[in-house]
Amino acid sequence: MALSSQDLDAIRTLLGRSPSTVELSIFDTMWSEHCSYKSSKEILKKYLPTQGSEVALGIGEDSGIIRFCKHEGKQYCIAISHESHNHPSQILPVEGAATGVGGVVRDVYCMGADVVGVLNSLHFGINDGKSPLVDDIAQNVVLGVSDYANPLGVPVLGGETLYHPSYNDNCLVNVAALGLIEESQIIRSRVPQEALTEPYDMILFGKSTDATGYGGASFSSATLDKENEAVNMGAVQVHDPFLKRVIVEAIKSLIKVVHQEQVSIGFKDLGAGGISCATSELASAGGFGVEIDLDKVNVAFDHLPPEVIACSETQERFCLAVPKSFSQTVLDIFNNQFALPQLYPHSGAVVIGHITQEKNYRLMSKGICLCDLPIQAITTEVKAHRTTLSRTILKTETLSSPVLSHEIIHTLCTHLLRLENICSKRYIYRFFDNAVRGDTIIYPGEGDAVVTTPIEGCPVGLTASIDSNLYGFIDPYVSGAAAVAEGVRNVISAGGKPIAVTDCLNYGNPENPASFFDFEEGVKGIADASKALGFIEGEPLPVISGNVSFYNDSKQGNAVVPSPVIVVVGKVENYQKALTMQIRQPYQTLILIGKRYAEFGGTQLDTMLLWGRKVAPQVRFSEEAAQNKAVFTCIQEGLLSACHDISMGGLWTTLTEMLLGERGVFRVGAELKIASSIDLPTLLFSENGGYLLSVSSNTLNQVKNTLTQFGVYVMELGQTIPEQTLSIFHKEKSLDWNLASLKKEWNSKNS
Amino acid sequence: MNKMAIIQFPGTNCEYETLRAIRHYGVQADLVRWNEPLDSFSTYEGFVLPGGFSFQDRVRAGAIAAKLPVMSVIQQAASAGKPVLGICNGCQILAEAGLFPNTHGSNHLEVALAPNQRDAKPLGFVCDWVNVKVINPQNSLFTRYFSSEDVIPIPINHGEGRFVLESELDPTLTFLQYCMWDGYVLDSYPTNPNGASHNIAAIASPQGNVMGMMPHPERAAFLKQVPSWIQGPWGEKKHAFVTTDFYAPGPWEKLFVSLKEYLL
Repeated sequence: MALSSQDLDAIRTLLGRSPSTVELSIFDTMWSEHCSYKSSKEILKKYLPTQGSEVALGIGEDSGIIRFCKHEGKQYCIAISHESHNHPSQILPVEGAATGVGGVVRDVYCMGADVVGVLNSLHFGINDGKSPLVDDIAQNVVLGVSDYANPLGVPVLGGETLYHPSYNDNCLVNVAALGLIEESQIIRSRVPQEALTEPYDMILFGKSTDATGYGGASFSSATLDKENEAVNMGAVQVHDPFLKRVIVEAIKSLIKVVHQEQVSIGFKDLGAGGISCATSELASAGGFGVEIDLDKVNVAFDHLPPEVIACSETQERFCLAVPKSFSQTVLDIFNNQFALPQLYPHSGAVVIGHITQEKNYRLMSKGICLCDLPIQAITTEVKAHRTTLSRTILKTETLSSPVLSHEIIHTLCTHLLRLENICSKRYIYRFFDNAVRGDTIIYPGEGDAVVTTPIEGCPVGLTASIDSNLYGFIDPYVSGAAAVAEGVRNVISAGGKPIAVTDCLNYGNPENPASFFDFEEGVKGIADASKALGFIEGEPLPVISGNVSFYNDSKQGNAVVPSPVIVVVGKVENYQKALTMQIRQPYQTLILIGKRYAEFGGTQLDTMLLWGRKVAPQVRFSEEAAQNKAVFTCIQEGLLSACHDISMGGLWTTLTEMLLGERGVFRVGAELKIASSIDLPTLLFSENGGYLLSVSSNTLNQVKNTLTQFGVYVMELGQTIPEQTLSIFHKEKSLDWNLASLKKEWNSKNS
Repeated sequence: MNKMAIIQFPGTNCEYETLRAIRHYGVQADLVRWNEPLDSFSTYEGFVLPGGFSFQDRVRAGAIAAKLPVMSVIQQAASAGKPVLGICNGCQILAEAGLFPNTHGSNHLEVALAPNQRDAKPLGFVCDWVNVKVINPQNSLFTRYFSSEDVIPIPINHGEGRFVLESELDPTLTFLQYCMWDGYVLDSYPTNPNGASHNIAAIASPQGNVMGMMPHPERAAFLKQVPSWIQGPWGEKKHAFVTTDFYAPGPWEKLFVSLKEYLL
């Protein structure tokens, strides 16, 4: 139980009496940080731009929905949900990560959408000898994601993996799911108004209810500690992607009938808080009450206490509010056509209650009323006012740029490609099916973002990128802004136009004012970047969905690196505009876009040199907005032979990745001639936003003209060569590598 | 025209793209659920068992689905010479049901699909693109339009795809072998991506009408599905990607065309 004594007092005042056991369980869940956003809501509302002319459904339901494209008279939209499953993954990595995927896809399915892909952002610790479980957790989280997404038949369209010692006791597992839906077919998570005049049933369907995940929401809303280990283990849910796949097929059948027969329904998945949370929210959102008979719930075994039936977080369940006259059709689809009861004991669909006009939430068991609450009391806004403790954050670097000999630069370049945050992540993503559904056209690692064509016969591509960084300790504002900026660049580099943003905000204990300051700064950074980097004149990139995860702390009480994880979704007007990053031809001109600054706080170079630099790579919104539009225009006009954004690891990493490609099958080398006046370490390792373009001689003038038009900073670096070597001439010295040896460094974790 | 049924087992997850590929190349086909009344299958002249994770690979991949009543229909179709293609999990189900290679026609288990290995150590799930070549292409209706010189890229996505044979393979059977992009059959990872005996990726029955294949032809049916990084002509063609035909043919066009012409 995570309710505080103040919470208990507030509940007594609200009800005018003491709550029953079942009622207490419900409040414990619904008033938890996880469900109520009690610490974060105020900040999110204050800063984030959530509106936009193309937003079909904004923040507030299980997924946000953005308009995508019109095809054959239909308006298609993308529904997105973005969630964290950090604590469960730390305790039981396979189950925790798997149910992380399972939960986020349910949020999309219950809008009536079909999930066309998931993305993951995994943040792991670094084994320092004192945290022996770190590698094990990393390995099992990867297995958990693949154990769920692969059988479910949902491609993993992208991801990122970051390593940092602050995650040693608290890994981060963030997953986003993208779904396709026609705008006219969006199903809302509320009891429809038809229930005023027609009797409506509440139907529960999916896996039979057991005790798994009881207390899951409240344990996610506190710091993990040793004493509660056994209780916490019980709070992790158990996944069944096989059953989910069959349920999803049944849902598709159901939705078809719903649209054919024009039945008004309410649909919601069961996540945190189980039956009590989902049914009360479904009813209250429509302005109704509901009466549930817990005896009707299909349970996995007998003698489950009523509060467990009401609040357990058994996976693979959904609830529906449907006209009583339609209930039999629903039961038939799940129980007979798709034969759920034969596939998993006691699973299937059952009517567990009915919608009432009086606005009370009532739970019955054995003829006794165990819970009778005014429905607003459960879904009422709870607020926890948090204070912030600011710290000095430097924005302007006063130190001169580092002086490094050419020999040291050469060594650093080679070594950088081996770093766990830079090297090829194929050893992780080979576990994830990236091609199921048959729609993927640009695969993970081929470009800055994956491109898929989810609409049958329609040439419009969907692209999405998931990003975060390690700047949060140095500058939590930059961390948020840079994550959005990077996502935007990735989408543009892949040939897309950014259309929406989602965020998953991972921070420490919000009761700690220093952590809460980081959180607020991160949100400000995301908000400012979203406002500055939009692609519709006068509009921000709307933030349409998100999640907050607090209490990500180490055993010593230190928070993880403030880690805002951002998804940017984009639209590729035509699949032929999709672009990959590998350069395949010699004599392509290499053009750097975006000025480099000697701001190395939190960068990969910083980790190698232990300088303790204090200024993180700043995001200069107007410069970046111009760069984005310039590169976008070049790509849409088909002027580039390859493009890759600059982010973690700087220009050096960008360049080598463009030569090595997804699998290290390099085709050409490169020769860079850098003017003596240029500071080489800053040029190669600065992580300020930018792009590296590969341009053939045919289009070079056009590209230059376009870039001049947009007024962006440009530097011509050199060209690609037929030889399989990479050389940088600077101050009459030549730094040389052969690509085979760079490939070996970059592939070091794949063998 | 003769129609095919794509069987949707509980846990199948590649049924829609399989249906799309087959229909695109002119085969009439329906998606049919595993628990439809058995006589509703009798109108079909061929069957595809698509990929997925039927029954969550419990016991062994394919083992439980192979015992379902619908498999009696598939077995009859196989012995009647009708086309039966198992892809990935479908391949595992057909192997567990003894429907291929079925050298003696007794539906006796002759092959198994064991967990992936690399250098005799567990490897886990592998998502990748590989190359295969066809041995005796003329002996199966699925491969007859390929030549034994062809090197054909195709994706794999499985955790249990290592062919283990009960006895030496009949050399006249049609089978697919994992090979390098120049056609060389190298028995080491990643060319042989799962440690399969003799680099085997697929095997057909002696009559050639039944084939189980671990790689996914429906994910290499169109040019757009091919990744541009792969070595060889298909990678170059995808990189150029100049066609305006959204469904421009991919490396496995010939399998689907052959199937269509067989069913005419």
